[in-house]
Order: sequence, then structure tokens, then C-alpha cells
Amino acid sequence: MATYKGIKGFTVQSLATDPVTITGASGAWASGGSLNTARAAIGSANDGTQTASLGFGGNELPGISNKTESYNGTSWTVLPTLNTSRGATGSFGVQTSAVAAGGFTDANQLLPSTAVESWNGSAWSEITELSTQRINSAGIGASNTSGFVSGGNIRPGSPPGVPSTASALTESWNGSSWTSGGALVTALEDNKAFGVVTSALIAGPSTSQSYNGSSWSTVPATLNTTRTQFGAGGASATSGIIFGGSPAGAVTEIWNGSSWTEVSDLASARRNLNGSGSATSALAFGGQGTPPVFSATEEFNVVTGGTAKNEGQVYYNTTTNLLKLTKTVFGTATWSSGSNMGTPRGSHAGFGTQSASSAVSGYDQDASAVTVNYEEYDGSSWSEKANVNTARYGVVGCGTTTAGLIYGQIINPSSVGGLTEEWNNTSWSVKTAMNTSRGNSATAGGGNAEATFVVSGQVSPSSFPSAMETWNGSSWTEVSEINTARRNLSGFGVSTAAIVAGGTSPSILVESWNGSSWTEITELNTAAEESAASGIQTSGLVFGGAPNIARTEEWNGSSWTEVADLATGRNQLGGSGTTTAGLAFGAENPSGGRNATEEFTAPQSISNVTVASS
Amino acid sequence: MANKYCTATNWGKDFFTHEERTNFYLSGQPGNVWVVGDNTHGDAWIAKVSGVSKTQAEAQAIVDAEVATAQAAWDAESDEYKATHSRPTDITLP
Repeated sequence: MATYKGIKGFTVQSLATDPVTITGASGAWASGGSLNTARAAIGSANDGTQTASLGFGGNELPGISNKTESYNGTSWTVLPTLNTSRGATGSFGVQTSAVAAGGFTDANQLLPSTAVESWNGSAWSEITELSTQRINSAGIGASNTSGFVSGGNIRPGSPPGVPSTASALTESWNGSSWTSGGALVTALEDNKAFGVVTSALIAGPSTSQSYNGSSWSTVPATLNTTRTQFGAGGASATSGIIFGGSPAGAVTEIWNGSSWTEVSDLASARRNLNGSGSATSALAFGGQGTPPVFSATEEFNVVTGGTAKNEGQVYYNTTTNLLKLTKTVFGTATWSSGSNMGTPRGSHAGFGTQSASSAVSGYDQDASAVTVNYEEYDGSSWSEKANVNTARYGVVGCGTTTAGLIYGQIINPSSVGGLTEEWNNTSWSVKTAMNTSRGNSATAGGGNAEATFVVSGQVSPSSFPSAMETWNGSSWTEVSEINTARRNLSGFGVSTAAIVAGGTSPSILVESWNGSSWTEITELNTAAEESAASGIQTSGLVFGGAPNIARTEEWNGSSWTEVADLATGRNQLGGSGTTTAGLAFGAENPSGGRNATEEFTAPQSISNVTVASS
Repeated sequence: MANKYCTATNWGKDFFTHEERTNFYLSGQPGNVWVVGDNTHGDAWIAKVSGVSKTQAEAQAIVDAEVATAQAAWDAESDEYKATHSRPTDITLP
């Protein structure tokens, strides 16, 4: 008789408890004593411990706080208040000796301060101010005579200035004056640090930066869950813990000096929380989310002898008598704002991933002209690259930011073109044109500029071809026809497995491509045209559309479900990415949103799930 | 009242976050008008973006003016242009 081990090469483990970590050591959060006053953005003596910590100031929502509380491992005790109510300070120290630097002191939480207060264990006193005002800087230090603050939001301007600006500045404190420290490699805000003044780490949003007492360097290892506004604790640049934040919620990760490992989640998901302690014994307190502000405290402790949690691991829980496995679980996704493009545009080519995307050519309504401009998004900002040779709109494309392809165009409303251009990471070059000139067509080349297709679209305002052509890296070949010809439809997938959906007038039609023919499949819930799309044949998104549509529909391989709306409805937008990390950019809207970017992100974590009996 | 209204300029990254989108209704409209769910999270967001509060009627008037301008621009275009671009439609704020 065949056995599981015989088939798979390993046995199904029998475990009394569920795995809790993917390394040898496991840990868990337990509830601690609650703060006397719930609040977020609390300052922390983050060189404190799990059983001797200090929290000060913060945001009581509404109202800025001047409250100070100390934790003894069991409960919080109210202590003398700060001289000035403030939140989101750059803070450091221990329970009996701490510093609160900068932060916001206004009701709108927008105006950064240079003011600094020092705690001597019994009272706060005002001391020398920072050189640069800042909110949400990262602080590290052992006492009120030794520490530094780095980064933060310097939000220049008055009245409250927008846009916000992240800082790279470090200021070091020696007990009497602030001096300039080394600049961060990358300016940061809303990211916390752990360690000591000669060995510290600021984590995230994705990669991290380490400090040796005089200069910062980039640590390439990426967090498992990109985030800001988290809490942190740790002993040095090679040992620490971060927890919660936005959009991580409850996810906790431990740093061992070379990689981040996800461990047990906080019981209460929250952001703008703070903490202290170490990677093996940490404290989390306060924060905001639901409810608006938290008084809850949680204590993290490593449990030795735990069982490793590895994604894909199958095991039998002998306590619950359930067959279980570990898998990545995605939370509810929403659209959040990304950086604005430099050039507003619609009807452009969009392709790539959420953190490496391309917006090529298109129609700039603000200038009432087509643009030759090409921009790339790196997950944080758009940067302008070399122009295309021929400005165009109604264009589609595929590939990556290092190897891309665009094809087709509307020249004027009654004339189309079949021009193809290729991007080699430096410049655009003209390639063989399509056999049938067309614009406003659909494509789905995924990340491969060497193998893609174009289908349907328009050859004139009233004539829509059904013909499909495939690209082999050098030329186009007619291969098939779609069942229902239409323009302004959106596509996702790859050259041999794709979906096209919607289209003028508007349409609910959806067709699937299997590499040789098109088949009509489950229709959209709501008709759409001039939408964008992302994903693969079995998991995709269609979002936006005319007129001013914010709707997003998700395809799971068999049915469509309406999910989170874009914040700004828009049509003729660009799209890229996946169903858990998508990107929408640009539009042809009446006004607003023409250069706006939105990021579709689903929080993820590794969870233990029961294998269903059927 | 289910929603509040304000004007604010979208500065880009972190203008609205994943967490904020889960905590309150938010909808961007022409004229930098934002429809914001009426709860403490929405209030905090308006403060964060230095939003200028508007009544629903004031916000609707801003949107109407923007749409009217866009419609006039579309009406002045050629028939060929109109054949490939939809006329901007009126928007009623929720």
C-alpha cells in the first residue's frame, strides 16, 4: 500500500500544539495591564524592558496627551505629566531616565516641534531644542544623557504644510547639546528603531537601515510584511522585534541580524503603537485602529521547544484531532494612495508590478495633448525615463521596467496605428508594426515583453476588429479571433492564458484565452468599459471605468466578486500587479485623479488552517 | 448624516492609507472634493490632510462646476473626438 511518506518523501507530523514560528524559537503575545489612558503615538523609553517601561504623551483622539505612565510588568502607574502635551515624539531612554524630542503639539497633529523634554525619574524638564522640527522620528538611547533621533516627518510650511516630507537627518544628544549625526541612506518617517546608540536598526518600510554610531547603511533583507507606524524593541542592530503597524495590523516579525521571521500575531491589530524590550521579551502598548485608541498592553515572550511553522507544512494536531497545514492567508484588500505621477495621463500603456510599474505615453487632458513621456514607479515615487519615439494614446503594453513593449495607438479619433516600440531599460526603439493597426485594444503579456498578444480594439470609431495577433519578440502574427469584437476592454494574464473583460458599450462580457482559442465565461457583475486590470488567468482584478467608476471586481478563476472601491473613480486608467498587490494610475476624468496612483494591497500572514474533510 | 465633505489636494503617498480605507468611507470627486465617512476616523483624516470642510451643497456645487467645465470642453470637440471619448456625466454626491 502506498504511504504518504512513499509518495511525498516525508511523513505527516503529529503535534500536540499548532506550530507558531518558522524558526527554532517560538513566541506568543499575552495580555498585560492596560494603560490608564488609552492613546496612540505614545513616546516610549524604548531601551526599557518588558517589566520596566515608560510611556508618555500621545494622541487621545481627540486631544493631545501630556500623561506619563510607568509599567512594572503587571500594571501602569500614573506619574507627573509632560510640561507640554505632545505626541509622536522621537523618544528614548529607560524607565527612570528618558527624552521626548519633537513631535506634534497642535490639535491637528500636523505642526512638528523642536521642543525637547527630559525625564529624571520623577519629573519632566525642558531642555535644549532639536535643530530640526520633526514628527515620528525614530529614537534610540540608554538615558536622558545619551541618544539620538533620526528621520521623521518635517512637514515644512505654515499653515500646516502639505505634502509631508520625510527627513534623513540624525541628531545626537550628549546630555547638553544636539549635534548632527550621520544621515539616513533613505529618508524615513513613521518607522521605529531598536538597539543602542552604537548599534541600532530602523526597520522598514521594506528594507532596513543600520547605524554604527556614526553612519547609516542599508540592510537589504526585506520585511515579510511591508509596514510603517509599528512598535519595536531590541538589543542591537542584529536582534530586535517589530509588531503591528500599517497595513500589517497584528503581524510580528523578529530580526536576527540577517533575516526577518514572522512569529505570532498581536491579539489586537493596531498601528501607531509603541513598545520596549527585546526580541525575546517585548512589550507593546497603546495604538490606534478599532477602537480609535487602545489602552491594551501585550507582552511577547519566547517559548523554547516550540515547533517550526513552515508554509506548506502538513501536520496532525493530536489535541484537536484535526489534520492541519500552514499557508499564507490574505486579509481584506483596500486601495490606498500612492505617489502622483509627474505627468497626468489617460489612455496610456500600463504594466509591471505594484512596486515596479510603467506608465507610457497617453493623453494628457491638462495639456490637451498626447505625451511622449514615460514614467516608472518604484513603490514610493514615479521617476521620468526616456521618452517614447511616437506620442500616442489608446496604447497598450506589457513587460517590466527593464524590458517593456508598447503597441497600437489612436492617432486621431478616425485614424489608428500599429506602431510597436521596445524598452531596453535605457531607451525606446521602433519594432515591427502590428498587421492590423488598432487602438483601445486588450493585451495580456504579463511581465514578458517577448511573448504577448493584442486583441480586438478599434480601427475606426465604429469598426472593431475581432482579430488577435501574437508577438514572438520580433514580429506579429494573426492567430485567432475573439468571439465578440469590442474596444476599451481590459485584459490580464499571460500570452497563453488570459482573460479579457468588459468593453464598449459598456459590456459585461468576459472571454478566456487558453493559448489556442477564446471561450466566453462567467460575466462581470456590472458592465464596464475603459477599465484597467491586473493579475493572472485564475486570479485577477478589473477596476475603474467610464464614467467615473470606482468599482473593483475580483476574478477567482470561476466567478466575479465586487471588492473594495478605488477612492477616486476614473476611466482610461493604467493598471498593473496582482490581486493582492495591484496598482491603478492615471485617468481621463473630468478633473482630479488624472495623475493619481492607488495601491491595492491585501495584508498577509502565515496561518495554521484545518484541512477540510471534503 | 452619513458623510462629511471637504476639499483637499491629494499629495500622493499616504494621503489615504490602507488602514484609513478600512476605517471609514472615502470617495474622491472632481474639484478636489472628498466625501468622508462621518466617524472619528474620518474626522482624524480630514485633520491630517488639512481638509477644508464643506456642506454637501457646497461640495456638490464644486463638483457640478467642474463637470460642467468638462462637459463644455467635450461639447466643443469634433464629432470624431466624441466618437471615442465619453461625455463627462453629472455626479451626485452620496
